[in-house]
Amino acid sequence: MTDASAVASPPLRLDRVTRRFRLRRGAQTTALDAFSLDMAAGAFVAILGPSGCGKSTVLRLVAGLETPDEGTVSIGQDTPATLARAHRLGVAFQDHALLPWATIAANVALPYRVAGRAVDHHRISELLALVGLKGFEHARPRQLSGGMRQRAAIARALVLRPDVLLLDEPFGALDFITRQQMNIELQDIWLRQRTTTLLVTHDVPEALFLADRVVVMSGRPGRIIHDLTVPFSRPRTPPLLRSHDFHHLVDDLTEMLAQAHHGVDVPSTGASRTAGA
Amino acid sequence: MTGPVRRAMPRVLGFAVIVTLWQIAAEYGADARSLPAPSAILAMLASVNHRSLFGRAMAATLSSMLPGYGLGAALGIGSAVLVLFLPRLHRPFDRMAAFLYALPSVATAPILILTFGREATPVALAANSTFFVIHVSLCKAFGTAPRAWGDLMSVMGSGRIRRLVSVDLPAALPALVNGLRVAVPAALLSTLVGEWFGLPRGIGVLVINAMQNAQITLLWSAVTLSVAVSLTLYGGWTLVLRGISERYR
Repeated sequence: MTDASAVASPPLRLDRVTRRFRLRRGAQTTALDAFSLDMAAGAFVAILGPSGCGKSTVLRLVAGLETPDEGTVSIGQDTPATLARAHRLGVAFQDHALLPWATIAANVALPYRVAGRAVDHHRISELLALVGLKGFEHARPRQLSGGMRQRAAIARALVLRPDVLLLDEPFGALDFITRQQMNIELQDIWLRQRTTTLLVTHDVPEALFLADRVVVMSGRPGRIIHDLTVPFSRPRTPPLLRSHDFHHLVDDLTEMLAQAHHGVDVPSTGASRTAGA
Repeated sequence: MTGPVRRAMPRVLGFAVIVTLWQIAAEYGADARSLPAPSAILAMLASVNHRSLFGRAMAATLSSMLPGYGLGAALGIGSAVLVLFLPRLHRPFDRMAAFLYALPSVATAPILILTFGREATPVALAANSTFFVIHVSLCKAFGTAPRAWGDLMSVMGSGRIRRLVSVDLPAALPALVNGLRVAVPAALLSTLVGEWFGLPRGIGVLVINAMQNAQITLLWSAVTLSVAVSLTLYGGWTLVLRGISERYR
């Protein structure tokens, strides 16, 4: 099963993508300017950057929630919109976006209903067990802790075995310890599926622990200032978090982030006044 | 049970004090022809002679009000969904709904009678006042749903109808029930006004006849009955709202 999914998962490519947002009448900001990123099939890539650097825009482009003004986004041979319509994308946001009136099992079953497929109850209970929510099938989201809600959101993202998994700071609202625990669990889940995964985060240890590759972004317009192949072998375990090599890389990337952050805070010259759309 | 009872106590006591003062005022102070005592009103409502009169009148009123209420609610849901699908219609529809609601029913009723006939006029007035409340409540509920739900449904490849069924309508259910609750008194009042324009029977007819014939206790009894029915329906929706809101936190 693991090998089959690895073959099925397509590569992901952003090719000189430019995305602008209109701010006020006439004024606009360039979130991304000729941004390119290539992801191999089955890779786990983390985009690291300060808030406002355009990293969420990258994820929203890959999710088909935004369309590029220039350039192309492709997943295998398809556009994100095509893949979304075929129910082959999985997504988890910082806001868990669980429906409060539905049980956890019903929330995880939602992708089946959207896809018009028969709900596979066996798959749902298997997945809920995998994310540590066995016995909470009939609970409602508000009865769960923040970490449990995010687990449910990740189960929902994975339930249809998507070709691409998109994670937008899914653990951003959790405390440090819970977050670390979630990262360990997410790696375990990912190792079983090897889905092409794009993670957007501002948490350096999280990116290093989870990803094969960490891309550091600076804004605006968003561009890649560093592209690191993570040297640690899998499965990665908690002792790695305390190792010298890990700390060394965390320090390097944090330093880079600090500089990138400085760049974001300075009013950008990328925002310019233009006449009309 | 002590909690709810204790919380209801001030209201019950306040109500009892007002009714007692009213009773005393009616018996010893005011002219009995302009202010009947609560005991007289209750006696009339309970009396065998009047029971069938009130029963038939209320049945007639409800048979106008409930279809109008249902029709107005259906139209309000329909227009709110239409606005959700075609946001460009938001402003024109809001203005139209507010305009219709702002029309004084006493002034529009003669026109409605000429257009729809006497029997249909209370129904149309009840529908109009319900429509506005439901339309506005649902538009607001649709507008305040978290954006992440819409994003999530899009990434999952949801069509618009599926999103409506799975997210938009369930999310708006408490707002819909609250709208139905708030619309009850308005719909009943509109029905009564509609009945003044020449219907054979109904609480509205009873009220206007009693007033013209100076049957003050009958007038107060009819009004008390309509308030009781209105409060009962309102209270019913309050219970439904309480039942479902547990699932929406």
